[in-house]
Parts: sequence; C-alpha cells; structure tokens
Amino acid sequence: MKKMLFILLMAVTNITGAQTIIPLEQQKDYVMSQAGQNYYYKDVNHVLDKFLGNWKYQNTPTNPIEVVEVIFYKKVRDDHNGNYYIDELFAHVKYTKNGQVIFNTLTEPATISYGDIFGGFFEDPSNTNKIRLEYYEPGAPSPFVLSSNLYLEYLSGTPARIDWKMRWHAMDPDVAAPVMPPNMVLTKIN
Amino acid sequence: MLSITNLKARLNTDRLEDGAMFNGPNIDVKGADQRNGNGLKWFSVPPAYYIKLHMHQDKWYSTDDLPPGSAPILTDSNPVYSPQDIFNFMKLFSYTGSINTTDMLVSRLGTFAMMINDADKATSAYNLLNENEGENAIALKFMDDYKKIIGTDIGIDSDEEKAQGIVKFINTVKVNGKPLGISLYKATYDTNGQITNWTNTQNL
Repeated sequence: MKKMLFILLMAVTNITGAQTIIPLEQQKDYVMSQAGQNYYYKDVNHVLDKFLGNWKYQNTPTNPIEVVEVIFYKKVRDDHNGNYYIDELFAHVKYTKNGQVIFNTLTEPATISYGDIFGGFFEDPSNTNKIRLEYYEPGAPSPFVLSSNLYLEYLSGTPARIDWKMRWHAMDPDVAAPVMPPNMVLTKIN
Repeated sequence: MLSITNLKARLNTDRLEDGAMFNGPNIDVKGADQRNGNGLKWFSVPPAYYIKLHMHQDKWYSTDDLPPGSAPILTDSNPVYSPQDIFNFMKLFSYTGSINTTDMLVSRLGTFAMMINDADKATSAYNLLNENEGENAIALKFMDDYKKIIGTDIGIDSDEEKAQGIVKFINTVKVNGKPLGISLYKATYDTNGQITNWTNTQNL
C-alpha cells in the first residue's frame, strides 16, 4: 500500500529542477504557500478536457432571441504574472441578439488566449465538474471598475451540457452590467 | 472630525462607506464627494493630499447580479482591502509622488494601512495594471489571484481566511514577476481603544 502511495505521489508531484508540478484541481490547497515561479499547476488528470470544444445556447422563442456560441480551448503552462505557471481554459464567444451580432471573438485565432474569459480554479478540489473563470466582455470597463466571475458546471449526458453562471461586482453604481445572459445552459454541438 | 475612532464606531450602523483625504497629520481634511455602498469618490483633490482614510462598514446595499430596477440586497462587505483599493492606492501614489502615500482602512477585522516600500516596483506594477484600461491580461490575472487567495464575493472563505489572505496577497503576489512594492500594516490597540503600535504584516 505504501509503495502504491509513493508511486502515486511521484506521478502527480514531479519535481524537475526548481519546479514542482501540482495537479491543477489542487491549487486551492496551495495558494497560501505558493512561492515564486516554483509551482506549475498542471492538468495531469485532464480535468479540463470535458469543457473543451464547441458549445451553444439559445433561449426559447421569446423577445429578444439570444444565441451564444462558445469555444473553450486549453492553454498549457501559462505564466500567471510571474507567480506560477498554470494550465487553464480560455474561451472565444459569439453573442447574437435578435439576429444582430453584439460581439464575436470566434474569429480570433485559437492561439490568442489572454483577456476575455479564462481561468482554471476549482473552489472544491474534490469536484472537478465545477470550475471558476475570470469573465470580461469586449468593450467592458476596467476590471478594477467591473469585476466578473464565471462559474461553470459540467453536466454529463448525451449531449453533454454546461451550466453557466456569471456573477458581477461593480465598484461604481453608474457602471452598466455585462450584456450577455448571466445564466445559461450550453449544449455540446460537436 | 472624521477619524479612525469615529469610523470604528459607525461600522455596524452605516450602510455607505465614508472616508477622507489628508494633506498631513491634522492639517487639512477633504471628505469624499460621493459615498457609495462599496466605494468613495473625490472629484478634485490636490496632489498634496497623500493620506487616505476609509472604512469598509459591516454591510452595504448591493445591486450586484440583479436586473435593472431590482431592490438592493443588504450584503456583507469585504472586510479587507479590495483589489480596487490596492490599484487605487498605487494610482494615488502615482498622483501624489509622495513616498509617504498611505491608505488606512477601518473594518470589522481591525485597522490597516498600506504604505509604499519600493517606489520603483509600485510604479511598475501600477503602469502594468493600468495598461489598455479594459482588456488587460495582467490586470485580469491580478484579479484572478486576489480571488484565489482571498475569495470571491460569493465564496465560502471566512473573515479569518480573508485576513490571512490579504497579508499573503500584498506581501507576496507579483505583477510581471515583481512584487507590488507595498507594505501592509495592522494597528495594535490597548484596552482603552487607543492605537499603540503598527505592525508590518510581513513580520507576522
């Protein structure tokens, strides 16, 4: 049993030079102790993979008719401001309201991974179906004025779905809220 | 006269933030022009006013996450410096140019002060966080790290975890690989409610 535990620990904690690899979903347990660029929160257990690909939301026939198309990508070993490295999700989005395109980042190259919607933090490391991301809409004010979080919950099935909840916090009462629907259920489309 | 003692006494009853800018100890005071539930605004303050004092009262009426026209909901306030407070402190230092620029915060967790410990690092961090105004990956990652260490508004982190988190965040988080250049102090009170010492949290 001890030998198995040792092998498991070696598999998930790979110390190469000065860098320690921590399974991504365990970051919450390490945020108070992380030091410099020594930690790499790596998706060794592929907990991000189920979120990847194309997803779509359309509300039931109503006015306005809203359609949201999302592609989730995985960014590998992103440098997080020099604090640590991390594997994380990022998203490109097309939002259409009554046939009018409000914004569309689907046309951006998949290699562009910063800004907009990104992250990979598991508030509960034992539940890898729920993940928190930073949320920023094109044209929104500074994140120091309007800060938003995106909470995703993967719902298995055929087709798979994602429960999408966006929560925002304004530092100025005159700031307008984000424009996309805050609560959606997205369906996997391929 | 607005003071730390005055703000402490109102934490449990006020629902709007309050605070003032000073141009030195006991010299002149400019109260906020606009008080909101989670922020203050000064429309015009000369650079000579390098000391800020403000409160995070216990609760505020929030409209976050609510559709337009909804009734505000009484919500617990963040008892520590927000990421906006930290950014605005760097901005204030950039504006005043004074190495003595200070932001004091009174909350249910105690009395805190931010001061500059490295002008070059603080200036560098402010410039990077202020770049591009909106879509700024460095600023978004800064916000992301704040939430990971201290918690989100709807997170489950306790006041004690937030108190530990703000010490960790200000003393260790980096922007583009460099520290913030800010020190965080916490006031020590005696039994008569008088401040007897300010402790640099880096030494805790």
